[in-house]
Amino acid sequence: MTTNYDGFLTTTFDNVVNWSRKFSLFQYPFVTACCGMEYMAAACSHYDISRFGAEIPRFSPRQCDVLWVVGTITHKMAPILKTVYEQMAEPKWVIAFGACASSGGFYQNYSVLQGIDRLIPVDIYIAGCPPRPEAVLDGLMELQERIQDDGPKVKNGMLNPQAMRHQEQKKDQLEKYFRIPDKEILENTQNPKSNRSAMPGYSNSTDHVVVNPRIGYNTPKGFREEDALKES
Amino acid sequence: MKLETLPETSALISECFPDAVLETHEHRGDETLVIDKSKFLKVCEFLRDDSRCNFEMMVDLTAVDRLEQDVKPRFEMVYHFKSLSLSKRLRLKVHLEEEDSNIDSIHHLWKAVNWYERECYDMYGIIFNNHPDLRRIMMYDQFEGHPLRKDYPMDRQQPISELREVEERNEYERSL
Repeated sequence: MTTNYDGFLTTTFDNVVNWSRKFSLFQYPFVTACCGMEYMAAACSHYDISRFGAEIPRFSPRQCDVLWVVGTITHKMAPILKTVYEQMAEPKWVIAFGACASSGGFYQNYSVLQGIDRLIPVDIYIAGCPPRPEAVLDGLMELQERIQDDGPKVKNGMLNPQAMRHQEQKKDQLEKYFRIPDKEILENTQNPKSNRSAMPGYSNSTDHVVVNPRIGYNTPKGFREEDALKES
Repeated sequence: MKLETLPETSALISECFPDAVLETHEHRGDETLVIDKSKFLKVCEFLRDDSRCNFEMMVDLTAVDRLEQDVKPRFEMVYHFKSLSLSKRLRLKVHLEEEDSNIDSIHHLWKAVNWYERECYDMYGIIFNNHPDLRRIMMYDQFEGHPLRKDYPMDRQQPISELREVEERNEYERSL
């Protein structure tokens, strides 16, 4: 942004849009555990999150911009979190609040997801068990910086994560909604009277529920070494 | 076992069910009885209905997997009862063989036991005979095995949604 003379300034369209976005973050608190208390402390008047334009929690994912994942996510909860994330409208951001959401925390057992980034892309990780409100506000400010930098920008030879993610998703959506089916025209079983064929890739089946036996808390690197051992 | 030396409730049960009591233990007024599995139901009925016992309340129920203690039989059921009218507590234990890990449900005596038994089934795989609704209560239906058994691998997870593999948690930051 540059000021040329009094009362006027020139800027790029991206800059203005991102600036307005970063100061009106509607949040969806996905609160599952004790971090919730700390979230409430940060959101209330003492620490006053509304200074950052982020004071309104929306209780429908369709109305919000930031998903706060506050607390432990179990494998049983994971599909619900995924659905909530997918229901949010673009542009959207995710904050992993506290140790459990970021990495599983001290729960390394049969039930807990080892970090929500295994499930959905995460923009900001806030450390702490639970984090202090100062850390929360720090994370929020960090997110605002990221949003200001959003757009097809290259920094040090890399697109920033938001831009990368949006690009990928746009590609996926094009593929999903506008792809012309090659040969087969699927029968529209849900609405037989319609003359439109069913969208490929859409079904009510539960085939997508796949149990992945390879996810323990071995790292992918560890897996690769195992595979290499098996091959040799 | 001399009845005179036993505390109140243990003596009473030992007197009424001489074959049922395998072992007793007492610590600061809290009594523990180890009961034979075949007599378990009758003892429970007696505990609830007899006016000298009056255990109206089923407080807790759980199992112990003694695999790593090398004790046979492998499972030990633990029941806690409380008498509100007589201000007494009692702990019942029943030993279960690994091959035959089922026990009669006491759902018809204490309604509260319903979900406790479901939990115990979910976590330890112990079958409760004649339970009205023996399903998993905490884990999802796709889950295989019973997680609190000592032979369940500590690092085994069974995700229901497809998970991404995370190579570097924050590649962008590292590049700066």
